[in-house]
Amino acid sequence: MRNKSDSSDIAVSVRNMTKKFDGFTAVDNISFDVRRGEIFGFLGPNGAGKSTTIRILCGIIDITSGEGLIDGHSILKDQDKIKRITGYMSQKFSLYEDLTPYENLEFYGGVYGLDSRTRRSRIEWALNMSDLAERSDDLTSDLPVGYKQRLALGASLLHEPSILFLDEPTAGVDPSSRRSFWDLIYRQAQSGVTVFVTTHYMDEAEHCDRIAFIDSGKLIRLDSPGTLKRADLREDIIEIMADDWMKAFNALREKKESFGEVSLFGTRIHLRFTGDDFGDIESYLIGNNIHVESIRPVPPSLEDVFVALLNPYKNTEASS
Amino acid sequence: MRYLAVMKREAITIARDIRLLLIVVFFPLLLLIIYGYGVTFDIKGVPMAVYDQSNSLISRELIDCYDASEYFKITEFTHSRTRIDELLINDDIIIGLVIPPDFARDIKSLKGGAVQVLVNGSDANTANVALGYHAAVFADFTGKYFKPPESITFPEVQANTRIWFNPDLKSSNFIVPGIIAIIMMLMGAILTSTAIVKEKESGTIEQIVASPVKSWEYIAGKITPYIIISLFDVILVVTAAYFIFDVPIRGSLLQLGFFALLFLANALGVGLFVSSISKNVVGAQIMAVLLSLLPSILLSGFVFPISSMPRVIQAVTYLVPARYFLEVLRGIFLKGIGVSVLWPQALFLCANAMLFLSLASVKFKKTLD
Ligand SMILES: Nc1ncnc2c1ncn2[C@@H]1O[C@H](COP(=O)(O)OP(=O)(O)OP(=O)(O)O)[C@@H](O)[C@H]1O
Ligand SMILES: [Mg+2]
Repeated sequence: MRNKSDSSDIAVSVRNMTKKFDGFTAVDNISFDVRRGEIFGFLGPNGAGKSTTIRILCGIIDITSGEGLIDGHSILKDQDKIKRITGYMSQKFSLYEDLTPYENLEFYGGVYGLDSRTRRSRIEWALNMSDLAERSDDLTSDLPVGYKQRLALGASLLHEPSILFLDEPTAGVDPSSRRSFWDLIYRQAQSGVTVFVTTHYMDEAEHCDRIAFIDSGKLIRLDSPGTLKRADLREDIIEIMADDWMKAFNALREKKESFGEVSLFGTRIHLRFTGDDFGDIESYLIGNNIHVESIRPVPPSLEDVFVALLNPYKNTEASS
Repeated sequence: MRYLAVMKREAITIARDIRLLLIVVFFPLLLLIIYGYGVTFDIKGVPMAVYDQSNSLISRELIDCYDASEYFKITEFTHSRTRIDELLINDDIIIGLVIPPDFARDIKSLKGGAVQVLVNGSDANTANVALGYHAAVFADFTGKYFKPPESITFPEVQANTRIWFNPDLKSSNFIVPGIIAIIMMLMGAILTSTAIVKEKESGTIEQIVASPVKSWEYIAGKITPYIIISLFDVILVVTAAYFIFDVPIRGSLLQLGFFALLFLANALGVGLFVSSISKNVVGAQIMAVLLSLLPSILLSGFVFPISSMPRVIQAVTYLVPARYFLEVLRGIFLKGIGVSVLWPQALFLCANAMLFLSLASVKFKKTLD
C-alpha cells in the first residue's frame, strides 16, 4: 500500500482551515503540511483546537472555511476515499465496552469492508500487537486503560491505513504502558505510516519528527524538537530546587525583570535566565530565607520551549 | 457487508442487555394486560330490578334474556313502580325495567313493543354502558320477532357500529387494537432513538463516522434488529390478545403482518428523527415518548373519536400513524376486512413513513457537528 509511487511527499495538507462553533472560533485559519511517513506531533493546551482539527481531517465534522487534502484527496469532496486510507483513534475511548476485543475488531473489520480472510488475519495481528490474544474474550469494559488504548490502536490499524490520526492516545495511561504504546507508534512509522498525533506529554512530543504548537486555535510554531529548542530559546535554563519551592517560586516571580521568566515543573523551578551570573539567584533566595537544595543550568526541554512560546503570545493577546 | 457488520454488532449489544430483553418481552405484555383489564369499560352483573306488568310468556322470555346475559344480575322482581324508584335512589340497582301490561300484545301484533327503562345516572359511564347492554339485549330479543333485524326501531342500536361488529359488547375488542398500536409505536420509537443516541453519548459514533460506512448502511443495520424485535412483540401481543382477551381475528394474519411492517416503518422513522435531534439518552427517550405515545393515545381515535375533535386537531391527526393503524387493526380483527377496503390507510401509512424517514435522514448527516 505504501509503495504506491506518489509524486507528492505530503500526506496531509491543511490550508487556511477555520472552524467555528456558533460564532466561537475553535480553529483559526491554520495552514501546515504533514510529510509522508513522519510522526507529526500536535501540541497545545486544553481547548487549543487539536481535536477539532483532527476531527475535521477525519471527516467527522465539517470545515467552516479553508481546505484540507489527505493524500491529495479533498476533505470537501473525497470523504469516501479518505476514510478508506485513514485510521482514527478518538480522544475518548470509543470502542464498544459491551463487546469483547475480538468482537470489536471483527466489527471494525466489517465496517471497513475487509473480506473474511483478510479480516481474520488482521484481527489476529491486532490482538497480538495489543497483547490481548489471551484476553480476546473478556468484555472490553473489564480491560485496564492501557489495554483498551492498544485495542483502539489495533482497531484503527485493522484496514492498514497509510495515515493514522491519534488524538491523545496515551491520556490517563501509566508511564510504562505509555512507553510500550509509543513503541507501537514507532513501529508503524517505520513501516511507512504517517502518524498525526496530539499529546499533552512533552516527553512524548520529543519523540515526534516535527511538532506543531497551537493555542486558541492558532498555529504558533511548527518545527522539529531540536530546532525548536535551539531557535526558540536564546536564554539558558536554570533549574532550581528548594525545600520550600512555592515560596522560592513566588520570590523569583517578583524579580522576573532582572532574572527572567519562571515556571514550575512539578516541584522544580525553571528560570529562563536573562541575567549574567546565576550566583545572584542563590544569594537572592538565601536573602529571602529560602534553603536552596540545588541550582544548575540544564539543557532546555520542550516544555521550556512551550512555556516560552505561549507566554509572549498570551501577553500580546492580553494587551491588544 | 458493512450493513451486516453493523447489524451483528447491534444484535450482540441487545443480547447482552438483560434489562432491554426484559423490557422487550414483558413491557408490551404488561401494557396489554394492565390496559386490557384496567381500561375496560365492561361492567358485569349490573344490578337490575324488574317490574313485570305484562306477566306473559313473552315478557318472561325477555326477562330471561337479561338474566342469561352475564352483564345483568336481576336482584329483585318488584310489584310497583315506586319500589323501583326506591331501589334506584338507594343505589341498590343501576337499571330498572318496567314492562307495560300490553307488551305481549304489541309484540305479537308486530306493532313493536316498548318497555320503560330507568337508569341510575349517578355514574354516567356505568349508566351509559348499562344502557348499551340493555339496547343490545333488547335488540337481540326483538330480533327474534321482527325480521330482518334492520327494521328494529332502536336508533342507538343501529347507529352504533361498535355494537354492530362487537355483538358481545366487549370493550376489550376496541381497547386491545389501540393498545397494540401504542405498544408498537412506543417500542419502535424508543428503542431506535435510544440505540442511536446511546452511541452519541458514549462516543462510539465518532469511530463509526470516521469509517467508510454509509449512513444508510449504519441506520439500516442498526434498526434491523429492532424491526425483528418489534415484529416479535406484535406476534406476542396479538397472541396474548387472542388468548387472554378473546379478541377475534377475523381478517388475514398475513395482511396484519403487512400493515404492521408499514406501521413499524413509521415508528422507526419517528425514533430516528428523535435520535437525530437529541444529544442524550434521557432527552431522546422523553421526546420519543412525547412524539409517539401522546399522539397515539389522544389523536388516534383511541380515546376521543376523531370526528368530534376541532377541525384543526382533525387536520393534525392525518400525521398520526396510529390513527390509520387503529382503523386497520379494528378492521382486520373485528370486521375481517383487508387491503381491498383499507388501501387508503395503507397509502397514508406509506406517505407518513416516507415523510418521517426522509426527515430523519436529512437531519442525520449533520449530527456530529
Ligand atoms: N461540538 C462543539 N461545539 C461547540 N464548541 C466546541 C465543540 N467541540 C469543541 N468545541 C470547543 O472548541 C475548542 C477546541 O476544542 P478541542 O476539543 O479541539 O480542543 P483540544 O485542543 O482537543 O483540547 P483538549 O486538550 O482538551 O482535548 C474548545 O473551546 C471547545 O470547547
Ligand atoms: Mg482534544
